Amino acid sequence: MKQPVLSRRQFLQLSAGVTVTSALAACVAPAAPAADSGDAGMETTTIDVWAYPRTENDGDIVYAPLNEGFHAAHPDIMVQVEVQPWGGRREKLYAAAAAGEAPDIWDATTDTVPAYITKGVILGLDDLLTADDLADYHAAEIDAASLDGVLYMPLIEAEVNGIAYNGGLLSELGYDPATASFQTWDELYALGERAAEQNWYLESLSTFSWGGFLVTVHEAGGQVYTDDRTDSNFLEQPVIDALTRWVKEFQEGWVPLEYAIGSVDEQGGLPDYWLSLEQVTARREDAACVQDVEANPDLEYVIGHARSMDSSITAVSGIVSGQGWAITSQSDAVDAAVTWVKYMIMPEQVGTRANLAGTTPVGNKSKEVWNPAPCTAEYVDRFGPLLFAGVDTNTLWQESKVVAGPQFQAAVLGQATVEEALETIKTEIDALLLEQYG
Amino acid sequence: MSVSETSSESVEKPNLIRETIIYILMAAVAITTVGPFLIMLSVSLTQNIRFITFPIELIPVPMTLENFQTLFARTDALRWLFNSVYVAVISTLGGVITSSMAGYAFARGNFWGKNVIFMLFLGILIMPDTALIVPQFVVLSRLGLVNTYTALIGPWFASIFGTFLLRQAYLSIPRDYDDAATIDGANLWQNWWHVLMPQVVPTMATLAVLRFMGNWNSFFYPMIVTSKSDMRTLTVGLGTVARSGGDAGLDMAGAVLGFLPTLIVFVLMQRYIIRGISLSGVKG
Amino acid sequence: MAVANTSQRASSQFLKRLRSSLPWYPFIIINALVFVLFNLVPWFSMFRYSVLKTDLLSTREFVGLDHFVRMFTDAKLHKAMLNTAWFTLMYIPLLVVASLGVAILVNRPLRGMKAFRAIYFLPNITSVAVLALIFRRFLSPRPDGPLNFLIGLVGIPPQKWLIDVYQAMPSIVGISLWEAFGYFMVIWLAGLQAIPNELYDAAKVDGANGWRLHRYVTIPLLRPTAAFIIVIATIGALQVFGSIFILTGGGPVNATTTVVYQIYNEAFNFGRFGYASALSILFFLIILIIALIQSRYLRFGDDVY
Repeated sequence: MKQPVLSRRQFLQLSAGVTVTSALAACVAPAAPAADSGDAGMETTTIDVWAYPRTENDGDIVYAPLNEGFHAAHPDIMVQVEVQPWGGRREKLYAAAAAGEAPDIWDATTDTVPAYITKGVILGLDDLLTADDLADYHAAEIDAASLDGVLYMPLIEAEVNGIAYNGGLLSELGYDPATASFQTWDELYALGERAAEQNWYLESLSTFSWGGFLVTVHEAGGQVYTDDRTDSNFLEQPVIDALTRWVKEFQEGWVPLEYAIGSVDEQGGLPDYWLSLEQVTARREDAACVQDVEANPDLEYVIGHARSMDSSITAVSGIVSGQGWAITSQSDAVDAAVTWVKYMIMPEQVGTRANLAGTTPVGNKSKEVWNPAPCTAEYVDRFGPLLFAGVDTNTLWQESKVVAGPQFQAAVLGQATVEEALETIKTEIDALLLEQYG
Repeated sequence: MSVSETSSESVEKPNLIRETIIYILMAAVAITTVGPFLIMLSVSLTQNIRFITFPIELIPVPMTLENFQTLFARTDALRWLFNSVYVAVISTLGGVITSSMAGYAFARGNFWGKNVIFMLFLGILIMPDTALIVPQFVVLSRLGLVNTYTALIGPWFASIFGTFLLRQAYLSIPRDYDDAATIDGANLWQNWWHVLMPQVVPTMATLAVLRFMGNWNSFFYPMIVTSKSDMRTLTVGLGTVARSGGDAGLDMAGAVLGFLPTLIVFVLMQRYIIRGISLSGVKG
Repeated sequence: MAVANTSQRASSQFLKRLRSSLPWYPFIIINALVFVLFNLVPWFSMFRYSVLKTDLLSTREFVGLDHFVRMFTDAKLHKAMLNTAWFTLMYIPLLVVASLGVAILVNRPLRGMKAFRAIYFLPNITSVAVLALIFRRFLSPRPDGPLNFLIGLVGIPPQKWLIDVYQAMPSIVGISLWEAFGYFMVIWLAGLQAIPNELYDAAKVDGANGWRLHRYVTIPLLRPTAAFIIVIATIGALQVFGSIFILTGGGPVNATTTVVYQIYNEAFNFGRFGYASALSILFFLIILIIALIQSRYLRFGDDVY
């Protein structure tokens, strides 16, 4: 009735052929780089490090040169830095930690690490590092890497967030880019109104950007969590002011509506109105003054000023958000791990790493080794001192983001009033605080 | 579908207008499915592209292969590509053959526990696996399978979907075939291999394409079970390639690289999937 | 005497049954092993977690059936269930009609149909990043967004699509249809090609053509395929996650938060693995019931011949 086009025998032959070829290929495929077997008599300890990508091949570009120096000084410690994909990093670490497969050292971010600290996955380093090891850090950098006074993840890099303007658009709106400054919300709103007349956006606000919201609250002179983490201030005036500002900007059409929703972890695919020169101001990180202009040479990048709701409140530029080395409690080579971390947080290595990875180092002396573009250096000088860290930045980060996001959406889309949205958030967050911190 | 018509008259006449409308509609849908692919290709051939404006220029000026060169020269892309091919091929062959076997057993077999086992298989298909990855990883870890090909291939070596698909295919073959074979003294294996399987080769080819595609594109599972560069598949490996400022061109070059093998497999297998049936009469 | 006889008969019957069963088991043994190792064993852990308050890392506290009790008052879960049902009810009929229609169209021996088959399959192999990019732009809420421009041509005012609480889920349905129709088209084609040509010839002798040919020949003979597709697609639809995860994050205002998204949320954003496991079990039971009803109704388990 039916004639098979591919006969059974052909199928068998094909299958067998492919299987054998694949198996052979697997055998000749490049094997994992063989471990340098230091001196014959020496016991080598191997430590696994998980890092996240900054360049097209961090293993070769960033860590090979750094580890060369380390290996010369400590031939008995074998370091395997494995660069992991950024996407799904939380899930991956979670699964690894649950199975006891966590690496010895993890390149942690300040916003995700507190959750793992409270779950006992990260080792406190107070007794393992000396004051000398940490001499180069600023107080805020130590703060950002600590939870309740215990240091967990000495930072190696920190994004310095600040405010930038599109000079070309400012000129067309009648401002002089060289002198214009919008340091209070009222001045910002005036700019928003003028931009809207030209069909340009003022800025962009994402409802799943918990960091962005925290900065807005701090610009209004407030704080979301109480210092002892027992209560939240969602119904206090500064938080209300912050959300009211977001609602105003969405409802006036000053920010792109597309950003009202989005993935919790990624914002891929959203149009970038800043780079397409349709947005007047933006919160950018330090290296953006080079990268953005490379991406669009028509962009006249103007470094702005930190902002506050009104001039009576101290301006803030952003959150100390950085990455650092966290040693996991599952490590069976803690001493070796500590040795490596100590080496990597030496100012010289921090600076060198920043140069190799194209990031911004933490500390003072490390910046002497660092050679950034002049505009990046200026950006870091201007905004660096106005960054903040503390209880807001290390309490329930992921949970706050996920709880608050939908309610922010309700407020900016007109489904709830600011007060209703904040009340809903407070109820849920307070329950979480009780659950986590008693 | 708009195919319905008042066809009480039995005279068959080519309806040019209707054919044209159908073609236009099909072409319109085709544009939406080809469009994203063309954009992907175009961006991958563009140098230093960090933001994408619409309407996009489909032919980039200047056109460059730099993104592909970067991938091959500066990353482990070749190794990842090999891993992807190896894992996808073994997974696909294994999955298709085991599905064919099990599908045959469930279609023709009369064995103790058949319905229970079948229901159990169905049950596995409907288990929401979002949170399952963690216990799954714990099991793999206990078995020492983290960072191995076995872990990458294992779950793909059997397919419930495939078992069902093949079962349906075997069910649609008349029993006469089996009976004739049994009279000739064929055992179950011979009946399966020589008599029935040749009839479902197109379905197996269909399954092979779907499995290959699914395996090739999977990200989450291989990302969780591998943490060493030389064990990564292409989709996972590309996640470790970044360029400061976020270069879309490099991303898309990776996407194109990941896409081509699946397209090739589809085009090659297409003729097995849809055998040249001369349904001349079906054309309305 | 009689008792011994009966038991003897029973045991010989059992042996006979066993003897006829044994040869079949090797056919399913690999499948069974893989499923036990990679699915069943982890699932047993899930059952264990479901009665624990645990994040799998630091806390492990027995709470009995508390998680299942909590589901009754979990308003977010109820919302997620309604969203999932709403998605499935919109998606399945549209998917079945669209993929079958397209399969019948591209199955005709006309010029260019092979190309269309391949082209329609493309969404399955296009990178997720590109899909996010395309749909974010295509469904832009701006009046000059592509889809708003298109509907503007026929006089419909601009819509907000993914940003609108009521339009977000239908938009996700549209995206899911676009992604999946090519996949199911291929399965329909596998079913279509199993229909012997003689049947069409016979039907034409009886005077059927065009739509009636499909109505009386194609569709009845596709019943096993249809049953398969409906059951599989429903199971898939109930577990919709990917496009929501990437495009809406469950928003706006939880309008696209589905059950699986909620399970993900509880597990990975709140670290409530015990509750997430309990939810997985509950949802498993719900899908099981739906699948069983469908199978019964569609006579999924029946032999065709």
